[in-house]
Amino acid sequence: MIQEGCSLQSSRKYERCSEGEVKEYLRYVERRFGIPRELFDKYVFLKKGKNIWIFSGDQGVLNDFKKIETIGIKFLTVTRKFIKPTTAFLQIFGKYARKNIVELKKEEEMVEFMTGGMIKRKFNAEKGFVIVKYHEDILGCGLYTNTGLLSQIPKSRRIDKRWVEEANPEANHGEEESID
Amino acid sequence: MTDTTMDFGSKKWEVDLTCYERYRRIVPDYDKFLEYLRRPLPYSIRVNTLKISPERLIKRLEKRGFKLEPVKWNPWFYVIREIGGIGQPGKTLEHALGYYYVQELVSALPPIVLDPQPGEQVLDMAAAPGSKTTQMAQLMENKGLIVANDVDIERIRALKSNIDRLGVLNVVITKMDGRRFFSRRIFDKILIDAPCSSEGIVRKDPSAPTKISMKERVKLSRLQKGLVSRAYRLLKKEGTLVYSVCTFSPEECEEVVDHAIRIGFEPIEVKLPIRGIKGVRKWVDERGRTHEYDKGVEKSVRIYPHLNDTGGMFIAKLKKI
Repeated sequence: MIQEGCSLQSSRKYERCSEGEVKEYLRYVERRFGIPRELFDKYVFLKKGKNIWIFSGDQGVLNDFKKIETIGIKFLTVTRKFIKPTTAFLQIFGKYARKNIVELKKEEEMVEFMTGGMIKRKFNAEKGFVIVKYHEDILGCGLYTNTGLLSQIPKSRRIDKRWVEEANPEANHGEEESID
Repeated sequence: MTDTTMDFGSKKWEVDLTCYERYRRIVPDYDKFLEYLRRPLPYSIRVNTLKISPERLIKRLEKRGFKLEPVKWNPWFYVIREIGGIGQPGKTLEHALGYYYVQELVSALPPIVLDPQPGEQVLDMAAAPGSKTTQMAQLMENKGLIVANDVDIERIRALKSNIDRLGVLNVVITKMDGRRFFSRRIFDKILIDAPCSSEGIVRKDPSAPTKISMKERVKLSRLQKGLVSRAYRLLKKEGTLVYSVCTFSPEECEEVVDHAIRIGFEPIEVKLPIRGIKGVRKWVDERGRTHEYDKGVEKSVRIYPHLNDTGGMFIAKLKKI
């Protein structure tokens, strides 16, 4: 022990998930997306409020450090009504999914989704939270409802429509012009 | 000499170089040093290999009009020579998806010198906004533990966001004054990329080196020594500390290493893939005072902008014995 701590209050905000809870969450991920639960054997799951976190280190960190702000990345949000996977989690583990994946084909749709918008068309997926792909990219989490696909990309992770308008056409046109 | 500056359009790029005068006698080829300090630095990026391979990312960015030059000494880094119509390197889908991080080249060096391995226990004492933390997570292949500490909540916000964006799974973020960092475990390796007077980043931000008073320098130096002293207690025997600052002032560089040696660290020679100059053992400050340090400080390295066309940096490697 390096230093006697006074209070570990702040780190207690994070708690270890019980075995039952972990089982429930991994069953959800497997049933909903077909992501095999064995993938997560080596990870540690912690909870803080309604959020569940996934971490590749050891759970001893809870006891060994103080003033913990985050542990790993946010995995799920769990409320009485729903379980929702995070975009950060899906961007890492979504590649192992086999179902409830919706694919965007057009760039306009990708931009709409990545700017936090709604895509009003039907997709081949069950209603609820889905994994949204665009070509080889996993963009993140979407909510598929009767109205369409609603982006769940957090504000800080979105793109700006202007980036695409300003940048895209110029890349090609610039080259063509220089040939003249 | 090739012109390496970016096109900054109408943006004014004026640099006040008076604060560098005190280094005239320690910087070799001083005029060239000043000349390089005046030039804006091109952007560079690090491919986030936790999410994508360099080949695939580069192909995609080139389609967007980027002209990228691979960095000879590290396969993850590229210098952006042209940026197409995008204007800023963070304004792409690839950036939003966490495929790369905009990082200055010299900032890549402290993690390379520390060389954290998968499974090790690492402390990043002043981590935000997380360029080096996330680079270390890549070196560790997301395995083991990095405790990324910082004292500033605003900066921690940026750190959190970068960890989330890059998909880093082995980091615990803590918010503490590093000088009083609490831990019940000891670490294999510690990085202190210390708060400093930032004289070495003027090529990135011309407003950076405002006139720093002697009082502020002394205060920073004291803080840096405090971090090093704490790190000594947090390290395993034979554990490694890398101490880095993006500044040139010996008070924040060699004087801190001299302090580290006094409290029991053994200096280890820093080997870099780019040109550097050994630490300064003796110098005279602007008040005419002579400073002399332990010979061991010569094992640390100073990187001046004109040596490799980069920003400035000081790096020391220390072993706990």
